[in-house]
Amino acid sequence: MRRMTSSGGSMGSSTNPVTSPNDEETTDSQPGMDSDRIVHLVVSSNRKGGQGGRRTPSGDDSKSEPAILDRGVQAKLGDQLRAMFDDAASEPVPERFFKLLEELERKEKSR
Amino acid sequence: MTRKSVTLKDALLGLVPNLRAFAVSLCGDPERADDLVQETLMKAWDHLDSFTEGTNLRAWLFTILRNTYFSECRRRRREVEDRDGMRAAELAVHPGQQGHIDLEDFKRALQMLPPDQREALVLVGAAGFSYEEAAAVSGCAVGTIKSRVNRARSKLVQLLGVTSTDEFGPDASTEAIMLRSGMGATPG
Repeated sequence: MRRMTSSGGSMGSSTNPVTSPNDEETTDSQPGMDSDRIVHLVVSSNRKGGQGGRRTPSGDDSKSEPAILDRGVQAKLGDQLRAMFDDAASEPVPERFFKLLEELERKEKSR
Repeated sequence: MTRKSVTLKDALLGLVPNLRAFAVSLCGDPERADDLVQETLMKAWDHLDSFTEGTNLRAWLFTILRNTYFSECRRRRREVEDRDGMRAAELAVHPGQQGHIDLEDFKRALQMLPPDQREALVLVGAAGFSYEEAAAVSGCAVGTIKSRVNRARSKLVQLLGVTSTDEFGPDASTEAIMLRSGMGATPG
């Protein structure tokens, strides 16, 4: 006999997912949680939910300001930016800049 | 006076890598970036008297560089707009479904941002300036910088078609496993 327990009120753990700010990391050790839902809840947490607002994480509740980004995505953006910058900054200084500064120095001395 | 300029030369040389990184992030073109750096160094040398000793030389140089860049942009605005238009077309073709964003995609998307937003994001997010320092470099209010950074981030995410962290690469598999196990959990 198979029984459908769809009416059960105990869907997984009922701990408030909003209180865990770093969902990507924490869900790793709690495999029972619906991480998809957590992301939506975090995004729409400052709104009195219920009215299906959960579906639109990009909801424009903050005037003309852009939607709040998922922390994980924001962190990745930061990583990418720094990687790009550090990559460029680690290149050796081209000869032309040594020459330029020597030239500037020479001019100043002869003044 | 000569002793001062010897140290100045070294200080400037030491900051060239940073200036180049800032310049190429701003304009997206390595050749133009080096021209910007060259012009910045020359201006810095000539206007050293306007630098207050003991203050942040890096921030001062960044200010000269961005001023040079933006006045140049104003001068050749039409040309720049044409090129950005071409880039927009190029990027629109980019398949966001590949599931992986490499550094080249990222650089291209960065160049799609309005220059003032790009500048704010690079200063704060890449070069490690505080909001206050970035505001001083850009000559605007701290709130303006914050808002530009936020807009830049959102726009980047939009341009790259990123909806979750897995689009960025290696973490993809872990998240997929998490999702699967989350959906598979049944009560009882």
